[in-house]
Amino acid sequence: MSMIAGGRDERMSKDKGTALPRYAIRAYRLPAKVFHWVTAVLVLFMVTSGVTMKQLGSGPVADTLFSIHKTTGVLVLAVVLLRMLYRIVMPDPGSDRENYRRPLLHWTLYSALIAMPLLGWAGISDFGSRGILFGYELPAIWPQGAGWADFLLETHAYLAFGMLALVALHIGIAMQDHMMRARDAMRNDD
Amino acid sequence: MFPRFFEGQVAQRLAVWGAMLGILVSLYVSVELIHASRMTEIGRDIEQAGVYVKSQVAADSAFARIAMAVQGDAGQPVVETEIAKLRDLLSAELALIGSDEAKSQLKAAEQALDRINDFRQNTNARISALVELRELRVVLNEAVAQSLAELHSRHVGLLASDRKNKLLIALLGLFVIGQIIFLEYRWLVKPIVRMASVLRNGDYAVRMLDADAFRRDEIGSLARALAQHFGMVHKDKQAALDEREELSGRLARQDELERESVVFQSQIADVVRLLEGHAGRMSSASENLVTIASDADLRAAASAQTTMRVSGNVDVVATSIGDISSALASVAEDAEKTSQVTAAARLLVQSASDDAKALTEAARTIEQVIALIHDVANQTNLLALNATIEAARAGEMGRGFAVVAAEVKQLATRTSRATEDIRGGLQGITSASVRIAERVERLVASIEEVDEFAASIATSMRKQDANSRVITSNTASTAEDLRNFAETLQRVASLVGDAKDAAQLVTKVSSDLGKQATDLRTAVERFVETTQRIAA
Repeated sequence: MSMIAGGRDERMSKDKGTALPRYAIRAYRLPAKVFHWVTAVLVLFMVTSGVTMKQLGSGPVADTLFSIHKTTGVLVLAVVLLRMLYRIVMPDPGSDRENYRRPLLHWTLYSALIAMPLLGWAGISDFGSRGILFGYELPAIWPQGAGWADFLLETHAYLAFGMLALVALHIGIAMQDHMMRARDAMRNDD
Repeated sequence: MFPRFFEGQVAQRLAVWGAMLGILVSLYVSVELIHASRMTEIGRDIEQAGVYVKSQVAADSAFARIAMAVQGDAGQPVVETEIAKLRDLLSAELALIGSDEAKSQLKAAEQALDRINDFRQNTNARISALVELRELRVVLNEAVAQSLAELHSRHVGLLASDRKNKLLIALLGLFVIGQIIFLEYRWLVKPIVRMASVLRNGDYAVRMLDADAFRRDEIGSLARALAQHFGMVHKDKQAALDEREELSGRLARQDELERESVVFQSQIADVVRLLEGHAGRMSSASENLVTIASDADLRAAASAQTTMRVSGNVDVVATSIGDISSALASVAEDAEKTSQVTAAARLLVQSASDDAKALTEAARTIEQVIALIHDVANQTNLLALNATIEAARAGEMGRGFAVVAAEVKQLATRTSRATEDIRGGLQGITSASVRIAERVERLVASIEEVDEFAASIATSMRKQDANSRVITSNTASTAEDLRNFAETLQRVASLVGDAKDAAQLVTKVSSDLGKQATDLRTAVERFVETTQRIAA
């Protein structure tokens, strides 16, 4: 994206009959965009790998998937923590209202993205299978054999689908805001 | 976060929805496929377990028969047949289980069978082998049961996670579909319904589309196109309305013009009638003036004659007085004569005075006539001005009329100037006649003095010389006065001649005026006729 952050680019639409001044809205910074799409891809991968490994139940493929899922989960946790830090330290120019941010929805999604890996991690700590790829082992964040493994991992699964519903909502609201944006950009310039 | 090409158009939205639902459906399908393959595996395991259990049951019954045969001391052939059967079954089991533990157990069982089949040993030894075999069988049976239980729990676990996965994916799918329906109803159905309502209700409802017009997608384009269309419709309507208004205004103006034209025609006709009347009256007034002037001329001539005669008489008086002064002897006689002559002279002077009075009277009458002519000329001038104004209002059609009005005005001006000239002449006449009256009075006084002196001559002889000198001088002065009077009369006569000329000019002018008025009426009538034809 070549837009200057915070600047308005007033290009006129080509068709004269239905001319509509187009305003480039305040853009997200490049790191924010990278964080967003990396998170999106990781979440998609986590969901598919999670569902598939649970469906397979046992076997060598399932075991490999478990390892990958755990490793990626750690990655998601790291990315989301960095992302939150970035958003706090380097907020995008302009207010949430000008930028069409939905802070409540965004921070709920961030919380879910933090809670999800932590729940999974606690579950495997209790269950006692903390091994990840390349022979590493995660530190335990929950006493092994405390008997909460099933509960923790079930919650992890249900929360995953709850979060997916939030993601669907997020996509719908973002499309709505994006589609109606021209109107408000004009209204602000009146 | 959206890429630049993403505008939220219907096709792009459908792609997003399709991707979301596609991911969910693929997940569901892969879950289903994994489940199916897992179930196939489980089925195969169960089938295997069934075969195993069947062979186990057959082996159990074979074992029971062997035991019975051994305990009942049956013949070797019978036992041998049963043992052969059990061997077959055991080898089949071995093939099924395949584990090392099971293999060693089966080997032990085979050895036990060999011992049972050894009829050279005593019965007790064979029975102990039988017991050993039995224990081996129990262990094997337990292992089979264990593997079956494991199979079952695996099956149950797979079924549970499958159910959970499918349920959650389906719920998520329902949520996404519900959201798609909700949002697309808001984004697509409602704006279309609004547009339909705008199309139904016409251009004043177009403000309903204000919000839609600012959208980026096809609905936005459609709303803007509709707004533009209704803007054009509104403009056309306004233009038609304006045109109609202008047309009605033009018709009203035309009507007004026609009415004005009719009023103007009648006014012009009135003016022309008045003008004609005035011309006629002016003509007769100037004729009167001519008559009066010639009358004055006559009277002036008569007065001059009379004065000449007075002058002659005065000369006679002077001669007589000269005679008196030169011939003192005939004074009394001459005085008597003088008294008679002065009586005659007084009579003549009286007549001259009367003539002068008549002249003054005539001059006053002329002045009245001149005033009348002057009034008429002024009115004519006014009328000509009115006619000019009306002609200017009539525009192109009144141009000929304007020329005529200008002519009339000029005539009126000339008339006015002529009457001014006459008035000047008249003033000369009046003052001259006043002077005549004065002098006549002085003449009367002189004559009376002469009379007095003549009377006193008879009684006062001594003062005769002085008196005759006084008389001589008085007579000389009287003669001088008379000469002056005669001169004045001649001037009056010439002035009256001037007045007559002026009156003749006025007559000519007023006849011209009459002609012009007739021309004017003809022009107006033609104009009226033309405008009526145009109006018709």
